[in-house]
Amino acid sequence: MNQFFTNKKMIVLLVSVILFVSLLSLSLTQAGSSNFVQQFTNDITAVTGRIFAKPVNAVNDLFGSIDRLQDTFEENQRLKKEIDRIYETQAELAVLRDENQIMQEELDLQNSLTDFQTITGSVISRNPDAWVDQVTIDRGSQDGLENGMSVMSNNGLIGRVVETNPTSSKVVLLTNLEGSSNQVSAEILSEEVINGLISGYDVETNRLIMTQITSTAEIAEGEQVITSGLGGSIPRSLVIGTVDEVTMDDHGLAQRVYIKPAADFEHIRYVTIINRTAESGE
Amino acid sequence: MSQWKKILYPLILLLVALLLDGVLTAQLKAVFSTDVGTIVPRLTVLVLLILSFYLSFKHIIWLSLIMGFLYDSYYTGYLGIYMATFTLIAYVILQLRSYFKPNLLIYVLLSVVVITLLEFFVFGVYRAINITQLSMQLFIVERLGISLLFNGIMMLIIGYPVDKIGQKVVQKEEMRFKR
Repeated sequence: MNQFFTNKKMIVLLVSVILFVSLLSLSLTQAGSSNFVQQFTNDITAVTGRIFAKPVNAVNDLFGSIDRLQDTFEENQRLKKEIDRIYETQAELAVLRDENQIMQEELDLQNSLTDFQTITGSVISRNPDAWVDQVTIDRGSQDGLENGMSVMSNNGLIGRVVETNPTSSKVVLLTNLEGSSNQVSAEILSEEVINGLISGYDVETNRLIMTQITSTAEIAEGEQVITSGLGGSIPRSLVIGTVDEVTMDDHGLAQRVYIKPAADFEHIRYVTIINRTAESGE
Repeated sequence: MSQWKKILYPLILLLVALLLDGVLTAQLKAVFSTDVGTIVPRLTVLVLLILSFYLSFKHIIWLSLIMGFLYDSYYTGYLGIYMATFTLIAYVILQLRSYFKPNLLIYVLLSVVVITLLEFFVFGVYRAINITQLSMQLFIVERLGISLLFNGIMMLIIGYPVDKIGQKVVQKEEMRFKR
């Protein structure tokens, strides 16, 4: 034992433990604002990562299209029916949009919460240990990305940007909503507007949990849930999912709603980053 | 083999493994989250394990520090966790390597030991800084078992070629199996 832990080794061990703890706490306190060294290495790694992501993506796309080819007929039948309905909604939408624009001009509204621009990107890699569920995307501050922007995939909200480097950035997914910093203000499209917070994720059933809803609100299963645009830099009207189950919370004071997410968190390959036009006022 | 190749080959090997970890997870997440738990690919650790048998003390410690920093910075942004674990793993293998002859069976057996060590360390740190609230029992059931199985199989696949490269690198090295 005395040979294993000689004086010099003891000191080295001690110093490295101190370094480890201080480095960890330092990076924990300034999460989101990565320094120059980190930005540089992350960008270099991301550029190399793309070399691997591209061919794998291509192969995956090929198999995906072969897979889809098999149930094209059924899908075609279903889509034909849907298209008939869409014609009606489209006409309605056009009228409503016109009306909305005229009213906005009347009210002299510059930016509303629903206005946003989109930036598309693709996923380079995902954190292998799923403790912190993050993906790295190939768009960075040079493309206009900023921390806190919301990110969509397959028509559903998947998370927000937490770290931007010049040509790559990290997106933390809604699946790790354990810290309070990552909550999303949402509303249920019911007869009346019902506001709440997406504040958790149920791993076993793959559902999002929405809390802080008044107990008197009447919520039906299948109703759509969208972002309310009331907090942070998330615009209004991004789809989150549909109501799956309505329960009361642990204290019986507010309702807790389980939401089936519109996005598939296991197949995130292309993402759309949402840049809200209206200032967040933070 | 010239000097720069001795530096470059292990570095490239580890970098490729590190990037493959991320790409595999991004593309095959649906496959990796099975009914019996979440698979975590640890190719970087496997390559590091094999290289620890061949490289000199200083070389592998520096390499594991750099790779640990890259892993932390690129994947999570919480610096230090993988830096510490990778170095620890390299150190453990450096202590053990005079007792074992490097071959595929030893690699697979050691990969089980090393990945258990790594998973427990990483889980412990994440529990301590409150990023996960998973209990120890659930962690063992949902994470550890299936990951060990998967990485053991991966080791069977990549063990032989990486071992060959390790041998090539060490050919000119005088410090073979000595510290």
